[in-house]
Amino acid sequence: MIPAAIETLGVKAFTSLREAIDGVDVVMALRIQNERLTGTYLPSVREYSATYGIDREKLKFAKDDAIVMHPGPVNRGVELSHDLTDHRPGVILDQVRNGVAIRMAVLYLLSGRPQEGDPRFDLGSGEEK
Amino acid sequence: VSEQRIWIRGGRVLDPAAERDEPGDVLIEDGVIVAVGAQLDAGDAEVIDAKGAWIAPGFIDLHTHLREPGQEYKEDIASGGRSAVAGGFAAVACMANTHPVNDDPAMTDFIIDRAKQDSPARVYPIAAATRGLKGAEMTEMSALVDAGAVAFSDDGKTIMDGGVMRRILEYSKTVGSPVITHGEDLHLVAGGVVNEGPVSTKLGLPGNPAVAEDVLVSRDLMLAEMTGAHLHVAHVSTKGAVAAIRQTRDRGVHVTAEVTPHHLTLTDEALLGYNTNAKVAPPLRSAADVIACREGLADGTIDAIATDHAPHAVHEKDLEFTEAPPGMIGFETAFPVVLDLVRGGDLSPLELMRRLSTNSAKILDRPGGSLAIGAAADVVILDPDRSWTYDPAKGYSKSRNSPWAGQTLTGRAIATIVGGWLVYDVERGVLYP
Repeated sequence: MIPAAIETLGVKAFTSLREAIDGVDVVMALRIQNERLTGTYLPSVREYSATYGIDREKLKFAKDDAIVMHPGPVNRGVELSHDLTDHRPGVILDQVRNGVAIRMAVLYLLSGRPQEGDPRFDLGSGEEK
Repeated sequence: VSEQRIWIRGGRVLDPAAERDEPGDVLIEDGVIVAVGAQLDAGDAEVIDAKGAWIAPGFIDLHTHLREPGQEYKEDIASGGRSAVAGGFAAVACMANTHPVNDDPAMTDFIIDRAKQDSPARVYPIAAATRGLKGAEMTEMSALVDAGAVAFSDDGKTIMDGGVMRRILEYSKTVGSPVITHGEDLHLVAGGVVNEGPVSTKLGLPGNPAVAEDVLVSRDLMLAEMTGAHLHVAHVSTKGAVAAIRQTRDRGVHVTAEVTPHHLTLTDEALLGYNTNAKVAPPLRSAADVIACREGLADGTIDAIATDHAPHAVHEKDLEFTEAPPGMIGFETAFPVVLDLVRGGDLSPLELMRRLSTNSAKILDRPGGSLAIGAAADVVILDPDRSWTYDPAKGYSKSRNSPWAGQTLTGRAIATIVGGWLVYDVERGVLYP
C-alpha cells in the first residue's frame, strides 16, 4: 500500500511500525479507505489492527511527550485505540476543529479573493469621500 | 502537364531497400517509378522541386485507429486518410476496435471499399483476433484474409487467456498473417493510468507498472517460440519488453515489433500537469525505458515506428485524468518527432526511413518501402529543416488530442505521392480525393 518511489518525495517508509515511530514527536494514523481500494492489499482487519493499530503499548517507542493525530473519521479500535481517540496524547478533536478552519481559508483563497493590485482589493479606509 | 508523370528534382534520395543515400531525381510514370538517378531529363512531367529535401518511400503505419465504422465523430476513413498523407504516410493499417468490431469479412470488405472511395492513403484492415474482441473465440481468419485483412489483433485489449492466444498463434500459421499483441497484463495494470513510479505518486494517480507489459509480452514471445507463428509486438514501451524481444529474436523466433513516436521521445513527466492528451496505453514511461526503446530501434530489436494514431473527441479528453480515454493522434507530427533520433545520433536518415517504410512493408507483406524501378510510386518528400507550429485544429484529423499541440516542430512532409498521384502538397493541402 506504500506508493511507488515514495522516497523521491523526501520521506522514509517503513514496514515495521516500531521502526517508523521510534523516537518521533508525532504519530499520525489514517483510516484504511476500503472504498478506494480494489484487489487484495491486506489479509484481514484483525491482522492489520494487531500489526499497525496505534495503542498506548506501541506508543512507548515514540518520544515520551509525543502526540497522536488522525484527521478522522476514526475506525475505533482498528488504526487507533478508543482510548487514544478520546484522550491525550491524542489530539484528534483539536485537529478536526483546526481542519475546518483551514479548509474554509483554502476555499476562500481559491474561490476568488481579490489579489493585491486588483482595484477590489483596495477597500479604502472606511471613511466616506 | 500529364498527372501521370511526376519528376521529383534535386533531392536527397533515401531508399533503404537499395541501401541508396545520394543526391538525385525520381521519375514517376503511370503509377510506377521509372527512373532514379542524377539529373534526369523528364520532358513535360509535373515537376516537384526537392531541393534541400529528402525523397523516400512513402511511410507505412502499422498501427492506427480510423474509428470508422461507428465512431465517426472522432475520425473516419476519409479524415484519417487525409491526415495520414499530410504526415507523409502512403499506407496505414487500421485496428479492429471499431463499432461494430472488424471481426467479420463483411466489415473488412466495407473498410476496403470505403477507403477506395474516400482515402488518399492506402488502408490495410487488421481484423480482430477474437470475436467482438472478447478474448475467447477466434475469428474466421481464412475468410478475413480472403477479404483483405493483413493481420490479426485485439489491440486495445489484451487476450488474457494464454490458451486462447496459443490457439490463435497456431491457427495464424495456416493463413500466414502476423498476430499483433497488445501486451498488458490487465490484472497487473489493475486500473493504473500512469506509469507506476515517482510520477504516479506525485500525481496521486493509480500506477500501471512496467512489469504488466514485461509479463504479457514475455508470455506471447514464449508462445511464438512454441508455435512458430509470426508474432508482432505492438507499441513496445518498457526496458523489460525490449530485452525480452531481443533475447527471443536472438534465438531465431519469428518476432517483429514496433514503437511509437511518443514512447521514443516523451517520458511520464509529460503528465505532471495532468494533460489528458498525453494519456496513452501503454503509458508514457521513465527515461530509462525511453532510452531502451531507442536502443532497441537502433539495433534492430524493434523493426518499425508506428504512430498508434488514436483520435478522441475534445469532450472525451476534457475530463478528469482517470476518466479520459487513452490515446493520441500522430500522423502529422510523426516525422518531426522521430527526427529527434537523427538529431540525437541514434539513427541515420536512411535507417530512419527504413523503420518508417521498408520494414513496415515487410512485416505486413505489402508493396511499398522501396524506390526500385517498377515499384508502385508511393513516395514522400520531406523537408528535415522546415520549422512550423503544430495546430491540431488546422490539421486533417477530426480530433485534436495531441501532446505536441502548439509546439514548434522541425521537419515536415512537403509532398506525398500514392500510386503515382500527388495526393498532398504542403502549400495546397490534400489534393485528392
